[in-house]
Amino acid sequence: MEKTKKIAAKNQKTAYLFILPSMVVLTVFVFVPLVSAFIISMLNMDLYMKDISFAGAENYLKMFQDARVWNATKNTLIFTVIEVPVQIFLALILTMFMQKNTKLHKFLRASFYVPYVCSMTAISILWSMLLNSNSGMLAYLLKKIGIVMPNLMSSPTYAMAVIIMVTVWRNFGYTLTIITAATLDIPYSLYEAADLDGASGLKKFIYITIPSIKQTIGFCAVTTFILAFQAFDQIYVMTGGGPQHKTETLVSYIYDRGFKTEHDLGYASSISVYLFIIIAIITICMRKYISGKEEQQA
Amino acid sequence: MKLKKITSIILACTMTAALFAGCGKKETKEPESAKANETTLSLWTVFTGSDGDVLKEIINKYNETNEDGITVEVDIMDNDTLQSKLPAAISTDTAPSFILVGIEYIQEYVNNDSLEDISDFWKATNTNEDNYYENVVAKSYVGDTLYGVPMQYNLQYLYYNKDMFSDAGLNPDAPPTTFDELEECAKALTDKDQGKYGLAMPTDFGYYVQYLWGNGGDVINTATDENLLNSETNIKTLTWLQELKKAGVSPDGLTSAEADTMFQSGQIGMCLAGPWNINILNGLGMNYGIAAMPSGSDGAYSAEGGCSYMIPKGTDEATKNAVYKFMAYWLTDDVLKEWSVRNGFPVWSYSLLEDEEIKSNDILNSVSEASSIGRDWHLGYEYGTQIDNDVMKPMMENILMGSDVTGEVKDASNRLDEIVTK
Repeated sequence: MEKTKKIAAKNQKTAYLFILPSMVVLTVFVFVPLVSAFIISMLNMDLYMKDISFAGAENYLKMFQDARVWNATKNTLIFTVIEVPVQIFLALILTMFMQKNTKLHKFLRASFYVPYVCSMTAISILWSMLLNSNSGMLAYLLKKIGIVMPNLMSSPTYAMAVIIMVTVWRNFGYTLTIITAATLDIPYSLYEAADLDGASGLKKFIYITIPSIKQTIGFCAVTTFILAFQAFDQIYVMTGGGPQHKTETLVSYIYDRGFKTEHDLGYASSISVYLFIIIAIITICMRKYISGKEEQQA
Repeated sequence: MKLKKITSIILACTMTAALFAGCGKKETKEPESAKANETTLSLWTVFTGSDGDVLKEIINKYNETNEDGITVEVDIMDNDTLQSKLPAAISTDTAPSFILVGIEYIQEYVNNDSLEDISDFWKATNTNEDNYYENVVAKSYVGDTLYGVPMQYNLQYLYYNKDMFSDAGLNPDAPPTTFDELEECAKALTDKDQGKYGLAMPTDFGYYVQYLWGNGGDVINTATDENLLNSETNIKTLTWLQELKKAGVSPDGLTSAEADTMFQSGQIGMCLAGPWNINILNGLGMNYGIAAMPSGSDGAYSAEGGCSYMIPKGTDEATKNAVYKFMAYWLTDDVLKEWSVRNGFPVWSYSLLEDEEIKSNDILNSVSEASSIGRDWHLGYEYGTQIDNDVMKPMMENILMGSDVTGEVKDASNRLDEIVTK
């Protein structure tokens, strides 16, 4: 018994050594910046880091009176509430046709994954050029058949829809890959039994596939949600937050206050903390909801 | 088993140590002398267009020909990136040897104690300050202290497509000189069925103040912080601009970059821009002309701009002296001539004005003629960037999209008040 304890303790030490590199990375790039953001949010501090003074809750009070923060919150929520379900739904639909492991299906899965490995900046530039109503290829082709394309990215009505479309186009391959991988682990006997009962493809998907991969869908929902709340690159490149701040999300507003216009790191940090709290609350709620469902099923 | 354990420990330690590999201090400001008397200078700048290629060529030539062992390594990035990187770089002592940015940033940098005083530049390099236009050199001074060495000077100019003028029955040698003529020409040049537009009115254009000035209006008195935006004169001018836009002379939601592209491809007849377009237009063999900003009821005014070389705070003496040598090289007539001839920037050196090639260059003559109406648009004003981003840009975007002018001006004026009363 004593010997077993000693072996376990030794193994534990080795295990700690192995997680040390990732702990160092997490500490340097996550925990330290997180704590720093909390501290800076309570300071009067600009990008030049001169004349730093304690501000207390001043930055937070200013934030709650800033109409652009509320506008950015609204835009972030609109973006997330549409982008996340569309991305997961699209991946689920395609999964119906991707469950086989043939060469064609593997090729298609790889093709859908390609945009995800490209940088969002490059993809945003590509789509900006394609959708440009004055010099873009799509506008040119539509004009050939007599259709005048509106300037989508400068339109307060369409700009957010375009950003969402490009984000879904780039990211759904990732969700598709994860969900398809999960579906490949579902025992084939379940489908065989359903076949014997005469179930259609759609019914098999709804009653076998989806319940079997609920956990994976939950994982995708949480990760996609967090990424959606942090959307920045595509907005910065395609619209710069315009027109009329209609596509300005919280992260793009943080960038604007911290690095572009005011250089006010204290204020930008207070909005970062606000964003962190929103993400944390919603993530915890989602996790609780998902684990609650799992417990109910168990 | 023991071997496995030792290997595991070594592996884990190596991985952890590897994480710190990039954490060493980068000595960017120290002269990186591989051999005695050799100095490498790092330069950050924002010349992302075709003029950046010319800049690099001139720098490469300097690197190959200078006898002081100086090598300038240029790092070109967009302005937003540079402006967000530089303060942090100065604070952490990792700034480049020198920078080349817009003169509008000098005051902000000086306020934050981010630049070296280089008042001894003229004497140290034996360069005659009086050989250069006083108004150009003055923009690199804050008070009596020199913080930059001018690299170029420019205004905004009216570019017009001579072929489109001829096609529309307009005289290609008579560009508009007043706002009324501008409106007439813009309407005459517009043929939406053919995808042709008369005048570029980009939503992100930073110099609509020129129209306000032309009719006697203004945005702010930078000396007293007095808000001048909400005036009848400005509302009248902006209403005229909105009517012009509603008449369809400009594409909807146009950006400045798109305006340049559309002008180059013959889709837009007239646009306002700096001289950096000349290089591209000449390369395309386009039949175009350059004129001064048209005048309103009060006269014609164009926003001044330019770039200067500056040295970040904390740069050591050896590096500073090497940068001085490069800056003095830039101010030689040969270099300034190459820059002006190839890029179309106006000449601001008296000795270069006597050059025969400069005198016979039509484009440069047009640019020089159009360069006499320069006016300071919040250069060096500490709220300048905020006024551009938070006041003028949203106001013009909304007005060009058809919002109520009076309401927009009132809102913008309130935002301006908030900024200047901070």
